[in-house]
Amino acid sequence: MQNDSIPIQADNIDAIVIITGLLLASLVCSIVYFVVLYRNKQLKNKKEQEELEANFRQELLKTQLEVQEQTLNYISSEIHDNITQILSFVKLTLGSIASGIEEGKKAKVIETRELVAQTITDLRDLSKSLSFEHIASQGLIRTIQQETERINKSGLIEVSLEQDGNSYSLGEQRELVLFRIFQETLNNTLKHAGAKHLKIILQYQVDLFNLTLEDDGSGFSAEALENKGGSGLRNIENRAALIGGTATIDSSPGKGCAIKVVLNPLKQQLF
Amino acid sequence: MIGDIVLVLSFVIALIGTVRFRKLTMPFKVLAIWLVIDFLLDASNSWVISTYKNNARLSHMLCILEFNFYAVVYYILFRSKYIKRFIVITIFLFLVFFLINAMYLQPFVRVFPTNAIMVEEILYVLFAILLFKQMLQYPVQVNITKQSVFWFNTAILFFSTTMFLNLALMNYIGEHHIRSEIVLYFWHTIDIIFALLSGIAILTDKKEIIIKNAE
Repeated sequence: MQNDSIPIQADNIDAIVIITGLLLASLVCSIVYFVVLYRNKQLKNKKEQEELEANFRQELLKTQLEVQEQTLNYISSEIHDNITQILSFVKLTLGSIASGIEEGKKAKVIETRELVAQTITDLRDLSKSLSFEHIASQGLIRTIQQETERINKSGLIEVSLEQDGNSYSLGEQRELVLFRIFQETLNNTLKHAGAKHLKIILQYQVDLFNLTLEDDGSGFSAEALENKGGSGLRNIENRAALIGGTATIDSSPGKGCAIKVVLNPLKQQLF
Repeated sequence: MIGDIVLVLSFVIALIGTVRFRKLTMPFKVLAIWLVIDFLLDASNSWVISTYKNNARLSHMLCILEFNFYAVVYYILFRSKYIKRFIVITIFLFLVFFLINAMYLQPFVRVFPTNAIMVEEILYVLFAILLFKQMLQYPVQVNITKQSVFWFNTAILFFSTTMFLNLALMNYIGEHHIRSEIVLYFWHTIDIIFALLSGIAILTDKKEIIIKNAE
């Protein structure tokens, strides 16, 4: 058998090399094509997953806001229709008692009656700040103004309000969310910041609305925010996202905190 | 010389598979077992040739064992119950074909089982393409170069497609009585690349990736 065999010819070697080369090249190309396809699929999948998660978060937040609004409306109407009515009755009764008693006791009854009257006024203001209808009918600026006056009257903190540009309506839902962001910030400032001043700036431009809330409190570091969870501040970011805006929180220890909510008033956002 | 390189490489990969056995996922545990068996059968090649004058017996044994192991690996890797059922059927049909071939067409004592190998390679190509399709359907958020399934499947696709060319070259050279070492070198080169790709698959396999995939 060995004697019959012939050495392989150059033409044959060329053919083998070409066929092998072509096969390997097509195989490598197929694998590379698969890797590219797979990468695209991964990116598409990731994007879809992120969109689903974002939608889910938005839906969850929307539901939370709806439940919160219902609860606040209920509390508001209870304060307005029940508690203040009872207190008004108490005030009237105190008034009638005051007319028929001796002078020494009369002063105390009148003083109590005035305290009750003040409480009724405060409760009515509180009821208004909680009520969706009130915010919707008064508008964002007027509601913030009323809230600012109420807080300033309490003496807890000095709140100033600045307006830049001609105001326009941002829509009931967006104004409500912005007002709740303002309330959340105010609450955080009163509870945690130890601030003396809170500055509110409302900027109205043609294609940009900006709500800035700055306090001169103790501030916090980004790490502290991460460690504590910062659900209130995260809520602000989520709420801003819900109305198509962005919230940025800028703070460092000893330098207060500034929260800025920016949104495009021309951009329609489903809520 | 090149045959020794293949044998050493088989040993190293079988060793890696044994060392990493506990960390491997189920399909790659099966692959690791097969790599050890494959190495032992390869190592006994010289002894079989010196005893029986050819290695036909060993090739038949390698062919049927290899197919069953790889079919089991693919069975575990596939999600579709239809494909799983298809694999079970192919295992049975291939066994029947293998027995007929070994007894009547290419007797196992003296003829190399090219018929069975051809059928085996066609099935591997089919499995590999279907697995790539499944990977595209259910992409995992892990870099593809870190996915053992990708390397394993690439190894199988490479081996099975180049094996066709190799067998065609063998036939051509056999029929024309051409004296050449080229086929032998080509065969061993395929073996080396296949072993390297299988080795990467064994090295990259991690249980977490499978968990992510299941999610």
